[in-house]
Amino acid sequence: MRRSDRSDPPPDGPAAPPARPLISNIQRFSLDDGPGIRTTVFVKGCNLRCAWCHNPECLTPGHSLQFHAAACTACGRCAAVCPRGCHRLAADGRHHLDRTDCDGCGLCARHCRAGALQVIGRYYPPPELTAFLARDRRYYAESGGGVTFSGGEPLLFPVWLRETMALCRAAGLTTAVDTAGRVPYAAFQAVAPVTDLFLFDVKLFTPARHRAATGVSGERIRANLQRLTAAGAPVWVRVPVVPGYNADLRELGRVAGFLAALPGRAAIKRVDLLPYHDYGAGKYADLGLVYGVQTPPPDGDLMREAFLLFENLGLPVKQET
Amino acid sequence: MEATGTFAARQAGGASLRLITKDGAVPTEELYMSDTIRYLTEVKDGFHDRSQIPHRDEVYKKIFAENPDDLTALKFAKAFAAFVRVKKINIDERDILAGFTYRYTYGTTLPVLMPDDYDPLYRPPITPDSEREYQTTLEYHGLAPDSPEAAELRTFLKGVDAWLYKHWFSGHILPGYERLVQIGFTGLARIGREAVAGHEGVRRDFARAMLTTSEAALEYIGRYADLAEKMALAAADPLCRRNLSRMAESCRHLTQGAPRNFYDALQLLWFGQELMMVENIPVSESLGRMDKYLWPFYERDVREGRLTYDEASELLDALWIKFSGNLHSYQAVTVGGCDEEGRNFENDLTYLIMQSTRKLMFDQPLIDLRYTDGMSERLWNETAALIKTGTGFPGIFYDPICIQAKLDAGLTLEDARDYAIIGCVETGCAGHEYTPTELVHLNWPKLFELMFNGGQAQMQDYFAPLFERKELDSIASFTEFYEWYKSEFVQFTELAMRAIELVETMIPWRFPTPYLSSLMIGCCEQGMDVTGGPCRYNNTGISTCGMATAVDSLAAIRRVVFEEKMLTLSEFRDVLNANYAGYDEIYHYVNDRCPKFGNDDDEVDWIMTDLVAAFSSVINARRNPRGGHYMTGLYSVEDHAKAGMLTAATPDGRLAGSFESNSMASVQGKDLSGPTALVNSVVKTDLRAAQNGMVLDLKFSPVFMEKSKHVEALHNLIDAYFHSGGMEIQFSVVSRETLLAAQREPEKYRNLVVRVSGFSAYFRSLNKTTQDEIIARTEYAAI
Repeated sequence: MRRSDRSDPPPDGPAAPPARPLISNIQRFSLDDGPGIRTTVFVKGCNLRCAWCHNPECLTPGHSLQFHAAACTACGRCAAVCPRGCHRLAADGRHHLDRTDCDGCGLCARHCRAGALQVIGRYYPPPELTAFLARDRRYYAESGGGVTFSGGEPLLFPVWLRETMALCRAAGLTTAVDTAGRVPYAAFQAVAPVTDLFLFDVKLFTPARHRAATGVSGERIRANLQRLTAAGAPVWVRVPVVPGYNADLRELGRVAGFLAALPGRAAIKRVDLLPYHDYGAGKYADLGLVYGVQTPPPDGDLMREAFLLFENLGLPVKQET
Repeated sequence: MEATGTFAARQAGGASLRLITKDGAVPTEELYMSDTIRYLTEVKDGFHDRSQIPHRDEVYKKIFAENPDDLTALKFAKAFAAFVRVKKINIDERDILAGFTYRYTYGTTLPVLMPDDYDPLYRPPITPDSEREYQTTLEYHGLAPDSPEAAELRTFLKGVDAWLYKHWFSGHILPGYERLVQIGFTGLARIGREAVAGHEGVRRDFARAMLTTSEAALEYIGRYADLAEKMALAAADPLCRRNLSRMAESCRHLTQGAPRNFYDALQLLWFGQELMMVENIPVSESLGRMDKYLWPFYERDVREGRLTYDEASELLDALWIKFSGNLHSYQAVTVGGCDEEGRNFENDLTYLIMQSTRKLMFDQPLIDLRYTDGMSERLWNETAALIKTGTGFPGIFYDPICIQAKLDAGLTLEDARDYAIIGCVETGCAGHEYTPTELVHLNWPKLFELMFNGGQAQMQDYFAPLFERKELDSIASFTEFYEWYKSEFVQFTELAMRAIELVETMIPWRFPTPYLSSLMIGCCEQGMDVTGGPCRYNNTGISTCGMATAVDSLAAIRRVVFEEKMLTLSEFRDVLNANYAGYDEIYHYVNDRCPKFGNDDDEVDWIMTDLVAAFSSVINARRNPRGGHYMTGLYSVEDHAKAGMLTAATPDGRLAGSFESNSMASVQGKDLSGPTALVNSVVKTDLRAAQNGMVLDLKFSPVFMEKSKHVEALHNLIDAYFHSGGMEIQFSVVSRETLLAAQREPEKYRNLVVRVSGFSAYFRSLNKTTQDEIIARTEYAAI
């Protein structure tokens, strides 16, 4: 099994991503990515490597081949068409996949009649994407919802993102960007005029722990949040609570302290503490990846204490009811 | 307990009747339930006596033999009277209301085949006796067996046996209970006497038949008065004595006059319903707008200090226990909506009714909510609390669209605003509308096996002559195939309507229902059985089955045969006749790679829009022989499971004998783009055409409903759906794990009530295919 998606540390400087992002999924009736009923667009490509990532198909910017073994009928069509010999039928009649030379061309998936093979990643020109997102406008209107760009890291594609969100705005849709924040501040500046809300992840505070959990330093993330809030852009801060990584009151207290000390903290409209879940674990095997986190969700007592920690500092922390 | 027991009116001298609570629904465990109700709930299943069904049939046979020359309606009426004179009656010592009903059985009039060994704990598989219906119709019309009419009737009725059609009559009615509680059986008897005096000949006989049933009802109530008086005298416990005395006094009064108070009205309503089941098949005998016609009694009793919220709650609970005696019988209660001026209508009874169901969790009665934009937050919260129980209640109907559909069906504005729900999702004007809503369903997917095989069905010996025979491989384009399908589909619908016109005109003379007629306004007055067209509205329902299965099949044919050219049409026929055995690749391809209705995909959704328009235009435009017209229904009760059991494999990848899609929903598990996409697909079709009702079922995981944010999103989803043209929506909230466990160990889940189609039922009472169908539905969650 290839592990490069997980283990290769991303370059610490600004990457040179393609200008056009691939979309892994467009999730309608999304209720947890901002206010109301939303449609969330998941962009491929991320410059963090959080151990608990629940969207592993969004780690790399290129096409990913997803193979769902349970659906495979071993018909052999993929083996017949693959130009790089990644698929073969063994003597026992079973299908084998070797991803070493796979470049995600997708020929096999187009020939798979069972739906076991799927190439993840499709480019949408902004007008086409906007028209699709507008299909649920009546639900946004009834609920105060809209569209959210998530990922991956959507701010790796500021030009495309700005153009798409400008079209969404023109179509009367409200917009949100869900970011991990590790991008040049210019990316925020590019999209801020067409963004109604930033969902900003702050995962840890302690530098060594941040690097251990996400593969990168948290310095730029914090600096960006400081500038963004100082500029008055409305922000919902999201803090995943992951046992083994940050689920202790000491670390969460530091995160809370950092937020409370921000000069522009009035721009923080809401703080969500998101208990870890393992819903993404099943996707790893289909992508030929290994999921390394083995932890139960944080217990209710910890979540309650953490909540009080934020609330006591006057932060607008919300608890799901 | 403050939350449930106190009235503003009692505190403030009667100015207002609003209950003092916050808008939030009272938690179920805090709702009032008396010890008596708890006891009756425990013992209620012991009241059943299966001997009453053959007993009734013997009495009917005897009376028919004694009165050979009477008008048929009079024979039925005399038999009804004779039976209720000797029918077993029963009162439990701790009962609150008099009366009981034996379990689900067949009516006196519908020709059905009845198994000898039916088990009252489960639903008997009763089927129409189409041979008897065929012979009676031929005899009545004097038709020769070799006449073209007889041939069509044969194709239709044999098609019923083969589940090309489903066909049913009797039941499915909103009796005039509002008038009954206003004037009592004494009032009906007075109308009957006037009609007998005012008519001559056969009309006098019809009127006499109805009068006979009203007098029989009075006599029957008198028997209960006698029994209750005797038991009250003997009762040792003071509470029992008090309740039995109240019951006796009320029954005695009801033999002499109209209801005076809330208790009388409920008691009379139950007698009305119990006697319906003596005569009519106990299917969809619906109660109408109970919060509207009982309101004057409730309001007056509360205002004058005779009744509290909790006491009313106990009486409704007691009535619910009566309803629960007939499993799976679609007794629909309608609440909410608007008044005759179009203003929002809700009151304490609206909440009490929903609370009784939330507490008791029976499968009866069905609860249907008329949803308005002006309804209170309080009512929404009651609705959400009921949805969360997982029982599938309430069915939610959007007032403006339903009212428009009733206007299109010819109702006056005032009558349209007063609509209520019949059985599953049909709407009617109580007391004024006789519409056999279940007269015909066309099983859309069955047409494929007939078309592919020259009219020969594949799972039974049934041949239906096609209107146009075609050499399969001569069909050059998808358009040509599609037009052929549509043409057969329309013509088989028209054939059914011609056939049932022969049946409908025979019914008042061969299978009349005099007791039901006595309850309906205009029947006695005109001296005509309810089935003969004397009501203000006399329409006929023609409905669907397996819609998305057919739509997806057409999309698969286009993709596989005409676009990808993977198979010829005759090769596709071979695949289907082999039930996909040996054709794994095609099976997976059509299942997983072809476009599916329910994903907001215009490429396939247009087929639904177009087929519904074609179906409804031939139906809604046609007049029926009773002076009314036909109405389209876009729902399938549980026929999508039953019809599926006898329908061969379909081009969408559905295997032979498997369930079909449910009403307006996608094929089970094929709606992969979430509820908004499904709703978008559905509202592309003009649902106002569904004058006989429609169903859209959405299944959510119970975990989803735990977050108030999600419940709010559900509220928004409902609003967006309704504001885009939606008519009905309902929610199943039960997990796959629970359903699988209930299938394995039914005894542990005896009380599990689930949504089926336009109704809810005990899961254990459903056949396995229906159970599998519910399990296979996509369960929406939010991650």
